[in-house]
Amino acid sequence: MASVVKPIILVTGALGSGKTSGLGALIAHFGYSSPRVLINDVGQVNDEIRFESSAGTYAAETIGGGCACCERSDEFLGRLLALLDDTSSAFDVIIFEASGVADPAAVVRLISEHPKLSHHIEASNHVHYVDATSTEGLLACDVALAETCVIAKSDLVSPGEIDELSAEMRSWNPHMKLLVQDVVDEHVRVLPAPPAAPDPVPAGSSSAPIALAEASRSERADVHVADFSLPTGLSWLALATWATALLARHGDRVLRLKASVPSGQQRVVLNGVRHTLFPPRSLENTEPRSTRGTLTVISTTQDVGLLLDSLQVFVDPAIEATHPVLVPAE
Amino acid sequence: MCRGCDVDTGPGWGQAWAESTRNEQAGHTHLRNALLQRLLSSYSYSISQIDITDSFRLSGPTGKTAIAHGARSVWPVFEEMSGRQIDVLDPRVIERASGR
Repeated sequence: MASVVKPIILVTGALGSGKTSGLGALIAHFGYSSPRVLINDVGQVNDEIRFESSAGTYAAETIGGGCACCERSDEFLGRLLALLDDTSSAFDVIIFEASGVADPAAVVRLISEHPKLSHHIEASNHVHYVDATSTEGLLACDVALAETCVIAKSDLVSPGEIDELSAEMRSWNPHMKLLVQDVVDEHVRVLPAPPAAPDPVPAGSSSAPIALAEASRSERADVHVADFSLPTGLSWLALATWATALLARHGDRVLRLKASVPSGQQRVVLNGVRHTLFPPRSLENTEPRSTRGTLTVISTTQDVGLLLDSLQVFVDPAIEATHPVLVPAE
Repeated sequence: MCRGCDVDTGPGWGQAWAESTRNEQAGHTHLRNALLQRLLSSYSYSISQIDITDSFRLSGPTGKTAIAHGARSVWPVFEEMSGRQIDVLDPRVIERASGR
């Protein structure tokens, strides 16, 4: 098995929301040239599906007759292992289109808890499709769980309706990437949605204690978003350890957790979904060294005060000096 | 290092940990361990790191001990020992850890 880490993009959305028809455009939008595509459906599907993008024509493997997050999980994991072991063809990304009823958190948990796949596959993006023409069943938690949302069939509704839908989805997940998908001359396109408010710029001196930057609650859905500002001396490893404890106990109500922590020349990004915290990734730090970190917690309950107290007591580096540290075992 | 596939998993989950300097790793480990100590002590448990490995010995108030291999294993090991889950949002736990 190769010792490289391959990204997997999880694609979710209700039946008929435009997932499969938009796959080619999505791959082109992200700039991948050699994708391997797996499509899951609860019903029986053709063994192979072909689709096109501006970069070429691709074949997709299928898993039919059950959901990959539960009853067909063994086949799903087996297919991923086979893809990694297949040295006959190079690929730069795995696209997994889940069935319309799949639980995305269960899918990422299957990968992150697998003894081998967790080392070789990284859930780099979760793209959720929303049908612009059918938003009645739209669930805030589905949007909150995603890294990227695509408003499909946008050419079938008015620009005003797109703006309204975008605003509502952003109230559930303010820092997601939002795209719109339309069809022009029979070609599916994926474009960035009109811009929203910029990500929060943490205020205060770089070493000031952890603070609440902003808290909001969606008017229509019971989704709470809390943005925290983190001091520069904070350890991403301590924050990640705290996050695993938080998600282990409260992953049923914490939909998503995302942090960017300055660490020397790098910024370390933490990403959590439900009970799962993904392996922290370090990126080049393009911000000034004094820029504070950020933590966003999206949950279904109002825990902002407790989250802040807990962060200040357990994670803030300022408290460490006043408390004993762990001693070596005898 | 995962012996099955030669990937450096490390105490900090691979890539971000591997790209840290030794000094940074030492600082992170120190702060992470301080967090574990504060959290466990508010449940009247103690925790100690076993030598230079990323394994920990948890000791309960009755003298019961258990080993957790990796910091993320501390939570399930604690749960098995105590029959309850660690809760970083429990106001009583926060209050005890803060020394208020």
